[in-house]
Amino acid sequence: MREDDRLLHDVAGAMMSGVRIDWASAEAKAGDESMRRIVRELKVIAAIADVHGSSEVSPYSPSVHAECGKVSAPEQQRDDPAAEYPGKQRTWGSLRLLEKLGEGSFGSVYRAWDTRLDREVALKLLHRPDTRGAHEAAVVEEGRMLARVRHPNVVMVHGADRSDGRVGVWTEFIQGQTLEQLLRERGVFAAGEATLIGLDVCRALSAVHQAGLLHRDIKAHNVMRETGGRIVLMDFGTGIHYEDSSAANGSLAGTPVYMAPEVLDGREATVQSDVYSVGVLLYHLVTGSYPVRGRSIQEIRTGHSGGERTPLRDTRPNLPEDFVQIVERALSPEPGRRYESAGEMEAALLSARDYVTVGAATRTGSVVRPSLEVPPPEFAARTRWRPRVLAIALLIVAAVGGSVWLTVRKSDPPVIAVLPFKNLSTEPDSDYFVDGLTDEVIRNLSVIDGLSVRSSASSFAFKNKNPTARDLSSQLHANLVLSASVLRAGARLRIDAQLVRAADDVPLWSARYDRELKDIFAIQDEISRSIVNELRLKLGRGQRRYTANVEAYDRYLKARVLQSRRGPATRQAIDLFDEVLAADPGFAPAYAARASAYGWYLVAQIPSVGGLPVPADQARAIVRRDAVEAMRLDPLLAEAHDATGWVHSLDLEWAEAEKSFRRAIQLNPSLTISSTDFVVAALLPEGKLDEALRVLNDALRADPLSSEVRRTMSITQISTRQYDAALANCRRAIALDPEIYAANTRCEQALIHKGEVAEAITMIEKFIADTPALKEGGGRGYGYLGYAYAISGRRAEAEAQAVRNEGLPHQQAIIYAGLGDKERAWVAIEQLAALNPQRALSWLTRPELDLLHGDPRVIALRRKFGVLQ
Amino acid sequence: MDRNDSPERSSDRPQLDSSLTLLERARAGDPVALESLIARYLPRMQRWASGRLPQWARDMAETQDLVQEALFHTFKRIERFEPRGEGALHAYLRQAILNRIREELRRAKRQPVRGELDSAAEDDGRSPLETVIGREALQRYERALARLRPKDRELVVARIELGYTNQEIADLLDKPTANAARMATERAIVQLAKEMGKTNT
Repeated sequence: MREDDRLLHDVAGAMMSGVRIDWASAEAKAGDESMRRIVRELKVIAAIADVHGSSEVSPYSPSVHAECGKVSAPEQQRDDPAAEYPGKQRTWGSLRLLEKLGEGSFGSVYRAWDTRLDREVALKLLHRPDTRGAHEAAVVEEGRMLARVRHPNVVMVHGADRSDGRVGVWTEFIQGQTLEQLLRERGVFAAGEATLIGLDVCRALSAVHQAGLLHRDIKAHNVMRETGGRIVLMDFGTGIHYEDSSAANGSLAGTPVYMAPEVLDGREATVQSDVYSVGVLLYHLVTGSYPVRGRSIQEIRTGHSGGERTPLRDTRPNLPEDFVQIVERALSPEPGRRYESAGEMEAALLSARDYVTVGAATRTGSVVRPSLEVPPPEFAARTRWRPRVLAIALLIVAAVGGSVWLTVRKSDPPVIAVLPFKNLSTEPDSDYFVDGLTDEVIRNLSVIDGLSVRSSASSFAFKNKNPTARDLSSQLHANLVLSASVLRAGARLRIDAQLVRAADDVPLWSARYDRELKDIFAIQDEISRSIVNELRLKLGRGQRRYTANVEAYDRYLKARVLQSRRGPATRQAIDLFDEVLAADPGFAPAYAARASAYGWYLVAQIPSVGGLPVPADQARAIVRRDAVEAMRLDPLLAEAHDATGWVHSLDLEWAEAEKSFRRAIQLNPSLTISSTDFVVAALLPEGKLDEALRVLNDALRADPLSSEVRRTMSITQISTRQYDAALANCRRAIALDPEIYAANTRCEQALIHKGEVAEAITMIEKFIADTPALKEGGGRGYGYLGYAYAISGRRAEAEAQAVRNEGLPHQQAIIYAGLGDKERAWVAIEQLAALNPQRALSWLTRPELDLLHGDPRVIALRRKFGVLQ
Repeated sequence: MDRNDSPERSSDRPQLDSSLTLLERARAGDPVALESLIARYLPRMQRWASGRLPQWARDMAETQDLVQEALFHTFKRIERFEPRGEGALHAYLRQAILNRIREELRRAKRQPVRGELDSAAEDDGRSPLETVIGREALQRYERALARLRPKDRELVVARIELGYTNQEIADLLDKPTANAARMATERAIVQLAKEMGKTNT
């Protein structure tokens, strides 16, 4: 045994004997870098073994930071405000407590009603006083000071007081989600989106600092995204005192992973320590992790002092360099090396962005109809870990006539303020319609990723005030303003909408909508959707987030899993999509997915064989109708383009099909079913096998664990005669999902072509014997058995299989080809082409049908179906 | 990683000889056989799965029975499994449960979070394994594992993931002695590390 090998075996042996291993020493003993790498991998394996072999309390217990941020267990008495105030009936001072929103170690948060000013507020009520009298006085004082801070990105503090023996701070009530909730729901943020958030947080922090205050508790839990898109800094350090109580009871309040090292060491919090926390926040948003982690404050302290900070680049390598530098500077261990102020960090974030190109469509205000082909949307996909350009080209519209390119400065990312639409009607009751329409547009804009929208409250503050775009720009930090006028005359409705760049009042887009007013809500919905979709097309970005009801969404996800299995599971998926759409008829992804599921059935199966829940012509109609509906609801939805690809494939419009599938992949590369759909519906029928492999390789990079991509890869590799690779891929597909459809057939097919025909026959016969439906039909539907018999000289059995497969021309074609009977093989292909041209074309790429290659009838067939010019 | 290979622990071992018989009976629709199989594999598979689920998912009530459900589902529909032996059965179950977990996570991740305004209990959604070794390393491991010869893969799964002792492995995988099992496992682990090293380059 070589020295190096001996070392590896010694290490592995030590691992198995439970002997403590000095990994550094083992690595040092390794002869070269490749051997050192293997030693490091052994260390990884040892860690895996430790996790699996660990007890409930493992040295590698999960989410170590979770323990640091542990919240005290709520006590019964604290849960019910009525119990706290038996005599007061759920009130505190002049506030009526409506609902408990949360609980922390400091106290509880309630939604409450201010009975004096008749408004909804959030109330943070500290626990009953213990020994913290001085602390409470400080909280009241700080609350009062905070009440003087007025900034759109800072939660408005209405007041702080002591009442009924309890201290409370009440603020505006924000409807929305914390960044932590968003992070958990959607995964990590793109750098671009994190930058936008960072800008707002820095602005908020500047306002706080200018008021002579510190925040001291910036973290993803304390920053909310309001439903309208506004970023709001919440929850100042009130009531939260960080204590290293690990020695006492192991329970800690607050989140020390956000604390600057000097604060952890007991020094005073400063502006720079707040800046540090913003750095941690941005780090956390783009990675889901923290720069320094530990299970106790002591461990985090040790991490800081030992320089164990994980550089952002190591956690997520493909972030834009500027972004990384900004975060790293904010996270400098030395306060003096950080940004001097939040304002300085804001400026850095601003200057880090790329130049934004702004094309003015027209200055005449006429309707600009955007083409359905939109510029590449860098922000469109929700893919994680994809490098993205921080700023995007806004409104790149080919200029005709008086258009000009205006590209001179680094422009702000799109933050849209929607002005209350102007009501030009004289009819007295039309105001509510116009305000409702404004609200609808704001609501629809607010569910678009990558766009910030100012809230309704902010917008309606400008109602009847005729602000200029510049007013809005300065007061709402918006750089785009959407305004509209609504004229109603009887049942006729005219809406003129326009988008203006706030900085210089340049109109970027405008449109007019004339409608009959029949159903007010339907019109509001339709117009707001149209405006928002056209804006998205104009901006070339904005993945819509869907908020279907949980049950419907759950079914949708289940259906998608079934759909990706293909085969009979597709039928179950279709049933579930039907249920989802019955529950939520506005859920665009379900229309698109149902179209694709039917499309797959029609192209990859023989319609006459059955399995489809409806006749083939109805299924075609559903594909078309659902694809159109999905596209209408959401023209930037990847799935909608995928569905459109199927429509084109069914119509044998190959170029259009390719375009649609490519667009789907571009919009969401992580949706790998678009890639396999692309291959099955277009590239295989077209015979573009190399292109198919490229598409599938890309898909595999996006989702290495997709069994469906592996399966489709194996189909394609059999056609490219790469049998070893095909075998590996179909085996991998089965390993990843034992229930995946027909991957075993690919393995058998690959084995046959590798010359291992006997083994393939054994496998097929066993599979048929184990599958009741196949067994019953004596192997009907499994043409490769007949093919394998034929090429191994068992011609009579092959002929018998051909008879059993009567009515299944694709199976018969294979068997006849195995028998070397070119004529009967051709007749079967011709029959197949009459039923399913896409499948016939794909079939012709298979090696079994090599005997038909070059046949003029095949060439004519390919030409007829448009894949050969 | 302190594995106790002493004979007195052998009573913990599943009654290996009859698992495949039980499987055959379960396939034929015998509910008692199915129950026995699940009872036999549940504790170890549950422990194994606990390393594969992120904290928040393990906290969810509906995932508590995930492994049991996955085992039930897998045993019920195991037609395609080629019963080459007990070790192969473990590798197969592991993969089936892993798939089920992935599906569950995909589903669960999209459900609204029951958030609190000041909830400081954080969880980055990683499983203990991912937390310890990182997502990329775990992927390297999975890919390398898939490339190993089936016998080597079974050894690694049994030892590293399921924590079987050398004697148990010998019984599972028809090795003449515990020492032979140890040597074979050692070789498999080294081979795995080499494969991982290749992925890494």
